[in-house]
Amino acid sequence: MTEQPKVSAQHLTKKFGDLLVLDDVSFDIKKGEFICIVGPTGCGKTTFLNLLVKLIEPTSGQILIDGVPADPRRHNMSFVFQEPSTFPWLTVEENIKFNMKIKKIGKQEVQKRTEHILEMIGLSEQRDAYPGQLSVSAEQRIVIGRSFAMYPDLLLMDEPYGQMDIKLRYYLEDEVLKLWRETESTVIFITHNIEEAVYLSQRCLIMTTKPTTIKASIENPLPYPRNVSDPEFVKLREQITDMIKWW
Amino acid sequence: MYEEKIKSAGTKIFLSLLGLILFFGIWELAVDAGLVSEKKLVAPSAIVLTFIDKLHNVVPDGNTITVHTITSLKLVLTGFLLSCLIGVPLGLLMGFFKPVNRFFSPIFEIVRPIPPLAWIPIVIVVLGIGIQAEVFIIFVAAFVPCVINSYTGIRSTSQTLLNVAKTAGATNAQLFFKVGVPSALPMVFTGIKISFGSAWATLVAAEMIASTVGLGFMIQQGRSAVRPDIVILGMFVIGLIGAVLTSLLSILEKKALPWRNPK
Amino acid sequence: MNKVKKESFYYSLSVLSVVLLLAGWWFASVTNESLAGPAEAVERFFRLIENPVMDKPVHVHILASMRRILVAFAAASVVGVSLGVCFGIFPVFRRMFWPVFCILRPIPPLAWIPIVILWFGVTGDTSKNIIIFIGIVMAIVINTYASIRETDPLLLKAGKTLGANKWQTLVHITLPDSIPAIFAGMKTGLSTGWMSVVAAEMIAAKEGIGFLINMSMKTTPDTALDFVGIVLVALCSSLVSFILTVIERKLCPWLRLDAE
Repeated sequence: MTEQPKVSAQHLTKKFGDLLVLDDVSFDIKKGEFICIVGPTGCGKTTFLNLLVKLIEPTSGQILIDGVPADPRRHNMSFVFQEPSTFPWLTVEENIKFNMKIKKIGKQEVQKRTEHILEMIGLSEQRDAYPGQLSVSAEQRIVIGRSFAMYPDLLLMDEPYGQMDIKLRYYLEDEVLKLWRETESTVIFITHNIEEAVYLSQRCLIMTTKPTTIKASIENPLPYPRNVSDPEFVKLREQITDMIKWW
Repeated sequence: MYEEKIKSAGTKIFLSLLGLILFFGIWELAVDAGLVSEKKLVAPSAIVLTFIDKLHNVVPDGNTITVHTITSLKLVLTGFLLSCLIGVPLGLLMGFFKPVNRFFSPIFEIVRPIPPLAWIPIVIVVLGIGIQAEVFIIFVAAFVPCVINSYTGIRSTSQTLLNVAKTAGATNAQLFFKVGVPSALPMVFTGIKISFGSAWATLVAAEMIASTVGLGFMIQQGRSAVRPDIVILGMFVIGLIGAVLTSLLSILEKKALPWRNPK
Repeated sequence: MNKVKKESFYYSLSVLSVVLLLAGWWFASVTNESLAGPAEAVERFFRLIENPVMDKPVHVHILASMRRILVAFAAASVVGVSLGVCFGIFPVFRRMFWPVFCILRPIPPLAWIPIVILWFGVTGDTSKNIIIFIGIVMAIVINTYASIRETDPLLLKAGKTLGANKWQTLVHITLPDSIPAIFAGMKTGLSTGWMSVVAAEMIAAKEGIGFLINMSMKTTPDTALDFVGIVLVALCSSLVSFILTVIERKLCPWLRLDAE
């Protein structure tokens, strides 16, 4: 018997007025999978994510999580935006605790997880600092830590490293993988950086320009940790690049 | 291009002192040399003497300067605190919840352009001459900036931050208290400071028109008795107290908003 | 609830609040003999048009107030912007006179009333104009200075690269960039100005809207007249603000000046 998929998008269509953005998008994601969505900028990836977390409603079609329609109050979801989204008036530690507090998780558990996450992202020393006093990379680490702290069923990341330099990006990519394995979350990661997509994902969904559909789903069986200069890696990367060249 | 062209700190201090000396110096000379009638202006040195005198002399307005000051302070603080307690939550709620906004907006827009002092005759009829009337007028004056700034502050809450909380499953109440309100605090404090300035200025005028004690009354009496020294003394005391209290509010603001202080 | 239903619900809320306000007013006037109700206020307005107060018909009073505030506003704008510019671009001037300004600033404009009257007397427009002037000029100076100080250095550099001299930079870069802030200062100044008009006229004038309000306080309280005065002030100040906003839109077409 096949396991029920964690996330199931069924015939998702979204129109803004007369503009057709998403056109009959359907796919399934298994529990604990790490999926990357690649596509050109402006192809509706962000719209798709917004539909997933119910920030907007689809024109038709539905999104199911664990077999029921997606609902942020019921399901454990987390979203890492492109812009830094730390709360400027909370300290690092309080930022990490935010999502858990909304979900009313018990005090002891909250403290335990916070300590653990702080250590994993390397900000235990700065727990009482305010995000405005730290660097952009620290901010994004706080956001990622906060998102993983609630052990989300579903974690969505919208080009979170878009504005960072390479060294930082490599570091944060490893961070994400670490946290993913620890918390066994299901992750959907959007990027336009193909190398990043191949580095992180177990499966890549390729989207087209508007009206957007899923062009292909490519499995990535390479073992972790991956090596960007490994020939298999390069081959996969080129394969995806070729598919995208047809945009 | 508009940066400081004056390099040394010494020159800076010298220039500031020079300006002050010129101001007070010309003033003192003009009076001492008889260029200006004693009926209109009194030298700065004489005003210091007036101050010392007024500490225990009740002429010509019936009270010492200490009593006037304390009365004015009590009034302004009462009206001001009331307006903050009511105005800030109202502004926040109006900015966040559309039904609240639609209900209170019309009333607010009608009241806003009316100078608080214009209400005095009506207020006196309804509340009688006395402290309640004055407190009410100060309340009206201080109320408007509190509401407007709180409203603007919470309206500019970042949509991204709201989305973070929404995704985590926050209820409307949680969104209001955990995202909207903290986000609006800086503007709320700006509004409170403006509100205090407004309250203080209105108090002075209200005392001139409809009171028998207080700093505003004191300078009005000073004019009637042709005592420019009392008038000017009163003006400086009013200015000084206003400045000191506003500074206190700024200090309070820094304590309440620790994340805005640069490391 | 679909969109149309929601909008009409909100609209009805607004209408409800105005209705409640009027009802409350009417109720208060019924329980308190001396307080005029909505009907009496309207009637008083028409009576006012017919009967002059202090031998002057109502439009004379309105014009008196408008005249004073416009004159004071014009003077305050010229002086205020000039002072603000001087503080902004001449460091020597700023170092010398900013402390003096800081001493004078916390004194509420209305606190100047007694001394100004002592100096310039009660009759005539001069003393009132000066009091209104003081209130408006402070706000304009502060806003102008702050805005000039915060001119985007990038814009200044761009001007320098193109070879602009100090005067050209001021007229073509700094001032246009500062217009919104200057107008904001003007609007703040105007509301203080109207306060000053009303206060000055209540204390020491023989004509004007503030004078009418003051009259309503003497002997038998004529609260209906006060209401009329309040409405007149509100209308006049809204009119002036509106004209100011129109001018600002014409001067700064690149800004979107919508509220929310």
